[in-house]
Amino acid sequence: MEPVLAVTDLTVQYGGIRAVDGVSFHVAEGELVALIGANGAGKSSTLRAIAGLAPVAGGDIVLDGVSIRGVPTHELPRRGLALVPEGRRVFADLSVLDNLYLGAYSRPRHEIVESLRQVYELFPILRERSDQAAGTLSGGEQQMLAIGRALMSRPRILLLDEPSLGLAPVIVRQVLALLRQLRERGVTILLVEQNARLALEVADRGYVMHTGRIVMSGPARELAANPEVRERYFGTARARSASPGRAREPSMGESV
Amino acid sequence: MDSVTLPVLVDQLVSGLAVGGVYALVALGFALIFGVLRVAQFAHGEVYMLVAFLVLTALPALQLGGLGQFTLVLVLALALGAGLGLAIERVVFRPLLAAPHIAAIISAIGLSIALQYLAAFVWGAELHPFALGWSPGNLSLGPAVIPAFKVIIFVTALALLAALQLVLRRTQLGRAIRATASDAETARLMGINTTHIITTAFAVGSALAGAAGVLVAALYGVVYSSMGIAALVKGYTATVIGGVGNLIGAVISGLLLGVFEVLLDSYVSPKWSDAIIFALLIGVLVFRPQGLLGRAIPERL
Amino acid sequence: MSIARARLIPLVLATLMILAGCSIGGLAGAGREEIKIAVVGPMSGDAATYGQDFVRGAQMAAEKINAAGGVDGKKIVIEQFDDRNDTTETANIAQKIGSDPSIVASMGHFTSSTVYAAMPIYKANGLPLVVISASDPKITQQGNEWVFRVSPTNDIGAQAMADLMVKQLGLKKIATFYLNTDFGKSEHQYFVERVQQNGGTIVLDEPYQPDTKDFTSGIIKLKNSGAEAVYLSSYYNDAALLIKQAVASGVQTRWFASGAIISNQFPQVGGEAVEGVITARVARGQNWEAVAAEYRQRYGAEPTPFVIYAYTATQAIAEAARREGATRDGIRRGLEAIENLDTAIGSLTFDENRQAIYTEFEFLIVQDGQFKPWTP
Repeated sequence: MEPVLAVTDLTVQYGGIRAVDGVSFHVAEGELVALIGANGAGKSSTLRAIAGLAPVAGGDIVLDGVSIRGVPTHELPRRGLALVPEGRRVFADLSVLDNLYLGAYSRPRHEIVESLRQVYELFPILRERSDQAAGTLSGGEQQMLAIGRALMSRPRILLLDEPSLGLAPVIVRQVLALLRQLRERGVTILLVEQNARLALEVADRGYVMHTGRIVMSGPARELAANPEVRERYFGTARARSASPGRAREPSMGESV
Repeated sequence: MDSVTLPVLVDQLVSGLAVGGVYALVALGFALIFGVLRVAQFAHGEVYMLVAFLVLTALPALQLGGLGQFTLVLVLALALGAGLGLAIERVVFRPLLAAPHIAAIISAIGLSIALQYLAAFVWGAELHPFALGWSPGNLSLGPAVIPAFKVIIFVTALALLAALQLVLRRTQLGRAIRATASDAETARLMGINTTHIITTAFAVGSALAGAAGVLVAALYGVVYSSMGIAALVKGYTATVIGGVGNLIGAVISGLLLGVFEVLLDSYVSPKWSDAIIFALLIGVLVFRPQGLLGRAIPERL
Repeated sequence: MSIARARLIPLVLATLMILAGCSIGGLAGAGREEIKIAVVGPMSGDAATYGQDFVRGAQMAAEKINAAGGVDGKKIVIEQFDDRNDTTETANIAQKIGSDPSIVASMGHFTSSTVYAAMPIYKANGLPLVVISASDPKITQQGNEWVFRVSPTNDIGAQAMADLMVKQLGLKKIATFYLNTDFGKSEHQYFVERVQQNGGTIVLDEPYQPDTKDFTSGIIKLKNSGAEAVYLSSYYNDAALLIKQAVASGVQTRWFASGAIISNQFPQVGGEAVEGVITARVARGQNWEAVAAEYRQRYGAEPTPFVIYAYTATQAIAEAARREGATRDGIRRGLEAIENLDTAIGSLTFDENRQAIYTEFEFLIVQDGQFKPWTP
């Protein structure tokens, strides 16, 4: 079956700096795919390039069989792509309801009520807070709003950029549980996350990025079990003490 | 000699609100454009001036009389303002969207000067009498007798402001404008074509300036090529005091500015009122850059 | 660096020589063929109409004199300068005129404020200045022997108006508005003093800033002042706007104003609201009317009084040059000696302060959009 999103040989360049260097991956219908890696590995740049927010120097991005490379950002929701940006980026001085309405900006008017019903069902807290300014919500609530807002466009694929960033651990768990729930409802998801352990807990498959390249990939469960991944990206005390002083480059081969 | 009586005070307040309504229209249009463009449209006052001149030129052909005349003139002013705004956006600002802000600011200042000279060249640098062709007489408001036209100006300004608020709050277009002002990149992620939103904000904001231009021309009975500067200064002051990006704040501080000015003129001295208002402006810029009415919004990234 | 300097020095020398050559040539020209008079005033901006009339009046007189053979065979040449009606610019331009040796006399500077700014500079340069519009009486009371005035002072006009309003028309409670400049303050002060001497009361004393377009606060005070009449020490734009806005605000009163409002612009800007406004000016004789008629024919418009004063100043300077020679000091001495000279304003005589003497007034009223003679 044709994947919903297929990225091939993607290269992103800011001036002389190559942030993403020939990255290829795909996300199939109904899948939850995690893109993990350390800070600065190029994960966010990859997402931003897909959303038309970062300069693509090479490669292609195909959404439902059609290239979206060079398509302006504001056209993408109409084509079924929604991105929940890093830092949530809710419209702070607009109400929660206005934020949700804006999520449906690309949709015909008559669909909005039904989308809103579904989002409220998923996030009852947003219904309670609907008249409040989004900036007054807690971090977790803002993350829910950001995801709810993205869902308002009824995307073919939902892209999330570091949804756990800046949230308390208990909230992070809630957010990831929610992603699992979404996946069960059939939403296709590409998740970029520094918290590899949690990401791999909910994902079907994962890709590991390092200095702009994908260095490892496979079913989430296998990656989560891989000692190298555990050591380098799970960041637990046990993993660290098990291999003291190791700081070498990962020597993981392609496992495709 | 200057004893304060109730009729005097009512008269002063109504006059202040009429002028303040005009300031609020200018301020709101300016704030709207600044919000989405992030560049001060310094030629905003020239839109106000040019619309007043264009309407003046068209007046001989408008002979409806009465309230119909007023409505017609107002609609014409809104349309001319919107048209001028669109032209200015297309010719001056759009080519500079990707350029550093300073380039757009300097172009706007240049445009302001060029349009003033253009108006002086086309119509002449002297004062031009402006007669609306309709005077609604006087109105008894309690013990005070005040010109009804001032009330009409205030009501018109409020109606336009309310209509804009309705659009901004209740329509997808309005939300898109506010979203673009709040965070343009995320707005694009919502599917909003922010370039179109900037164009729209120019049209709407300039339409308000056009309306303000004819209202003030009818109020003072005169049109002249340098009238835009005074309006821009007052509108800018109202925007800053209200808190840049706070549209309601711009409206409220525009109205208050009008009243404050009349009271200063009356009870301090006309000689000092501009100086006091500018001192206030500078004080706000230095000590409370988010504006007197603005709330501190946490920095977004 | 050294090459640049080597090139620069000859360049500077050459420039200096050219400049020197020019001014020597200028001097020679001035001494032989022409008498150059500077006409200075607002040639741009809000008051440019006045500056334009300065030049037109002077030019018309010069042409007349030159057609009749000039002054001992020398032609009168008018050169215009723009002081933008701004005191700073006035100081610069007066210095420029003063240091041009080809100029032997100057006339103008529109307002009392600009004349005050210019006076010491004329004195320092030893160049006679003939004032043709500024009306503060104190201008010619400073003991500056280089400053003459052919136009009337505002005290006599203001006093004539105060007499008319209080004594003849019996208006006792009078509101006043005045432009907060040297002109407005002084004309207002003479008016107020005379009203009080005549037994009237000033019920409102309201200054306003130059370029005021919104008279709201003053009008509200006027409405509640109980005034029977209003007197404006204003120029045409301010006066027209003030009256227009007051009438629109429901003020019903009798309006009187300084002679400075006399201009086509006044009824044009003021429209119907200024019908019936009364003002005063010095009486006009047949010479005045002859110049005015020529102006109307040439320019198709009504002349401001400044056309006639500029015309008169040119005549006086020509006469002075004829008497004492076409030098700066000669013209100064010649002007001092003038007595009963037949000019555009009629018979011109300077008093001991070098101020032209005026004795007769006439009143005007705005009717059908025009100033028309009026008798109380």
